[in-house]
Amino acid sequence: MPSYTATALVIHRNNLAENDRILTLYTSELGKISAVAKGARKPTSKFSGATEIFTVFRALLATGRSLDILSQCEIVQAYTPLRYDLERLARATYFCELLDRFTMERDPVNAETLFQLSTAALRLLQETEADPDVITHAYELRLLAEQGYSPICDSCVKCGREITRGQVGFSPSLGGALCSSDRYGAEDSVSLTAEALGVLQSLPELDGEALLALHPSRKAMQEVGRALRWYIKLRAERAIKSADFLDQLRASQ
Amino acid sequence: MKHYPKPLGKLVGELERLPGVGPKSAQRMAFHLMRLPYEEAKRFADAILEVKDQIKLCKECSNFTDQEVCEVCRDTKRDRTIMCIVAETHDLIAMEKTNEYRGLYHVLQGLISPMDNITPEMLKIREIFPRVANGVTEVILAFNPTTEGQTTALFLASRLKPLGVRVSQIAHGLPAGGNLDYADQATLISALQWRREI
Ligand SMILES: [Zn+2]
Ligand SMILES: [Zn+2]
Repeated sequence: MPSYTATALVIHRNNLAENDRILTLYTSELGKISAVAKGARKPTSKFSGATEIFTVFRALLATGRSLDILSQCEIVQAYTPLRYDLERLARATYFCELLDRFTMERDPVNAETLFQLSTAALRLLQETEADPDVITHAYELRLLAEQGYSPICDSCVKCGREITRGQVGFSPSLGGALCSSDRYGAEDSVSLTAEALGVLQSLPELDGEALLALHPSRKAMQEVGRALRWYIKLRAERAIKSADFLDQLRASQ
Repeated sequence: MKHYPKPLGKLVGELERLPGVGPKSAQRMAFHLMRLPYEEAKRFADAILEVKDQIKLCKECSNFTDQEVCEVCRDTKRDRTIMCIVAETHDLIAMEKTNEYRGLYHVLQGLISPMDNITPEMLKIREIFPRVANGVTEVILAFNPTTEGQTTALFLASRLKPLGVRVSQIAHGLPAGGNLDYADQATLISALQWRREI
């Protein structure tokens, strides 16, 4: 069997038969692939711990008839601290599901960029004290941008005029912001303060340091969160399941 | 199923839905069952229905039982100040086999799994709080060392600690009698994380 190596982020796993797992991997080389980890559910398996979601490993894979087979793996990053903090663990889980939803199997275009983007987001989540939702919304917006789904936030999606200050709106179905005169112009429009709009506009541009220096108000973050929640659901054409649990955690804070 | 007589095809179909059973084994089992003496086959079918009719969840701990309150919960010799929370009944059985633990249990009937849309209210979590209020001072969380197990443990800890109970989690690490240099990286990372002073 021909084989190949890849650097992979585990984004989903399912049980297969008695002892195996079927993994969805996002690789830097090939994009999203599926692979079988044989025996991964036996406690003595060399794969058992490595096949947890958001683990990054170097893998040796064998090309199989229908599914590729994981033959060796070496953990590069386990993001262990993320696994001891509920808020961050829930967000890392959500990142994986989001990446899975917005990518197709074996689409190598953008693969390296998306891999870097995702592991960088996990690293920020792990290494900084920053508001995990700032990192989350930045990740959402950048992933959307890379896949050509950016919401329009600098001009009104209804009249096309540039958006100036003041209370504006956001319509998930129309795909972006609504100017102050059109802000009730769509059935699904939600209102945004000028600050929330500013956050939506700047998050995709900022990286690392600049992101951490951002301290939006709680209200602005809630508005951004609500707007993106519905926008993403619409663009993904289905619910992002792990977002429900995240909503619960946010509500109980 | 078109090669089988209808009733046999139906049986093969049902068996194939069992966990870990493929089409080949389903066929083998179906032929075996078909050749059983009538009485034996009936015993088998009755056993399935009896389980369905008689097994329910214990009113106290949500363990599977054929009574209102399960045997563990009825045992007056158990320490009622300590409670071990597990995901499934088979985890409770595994803990019992250690002969080391004499406290109460609580069975969640699953683990929180956000990606599969299994959220806390779908599990037997609500039922924990009145029990804790009733004299439990220590809770031990005993889940599989998986992302789901960890999510569940952290969630429960965040809800139980404010109530003033001591919450601990079983250690994750090397198997007893194992070899350090054969251990996979993830296990070693977790063993390091769970190290303790001696
Ligand atoms: Zn407008
Ligand atoms: Zn009981």
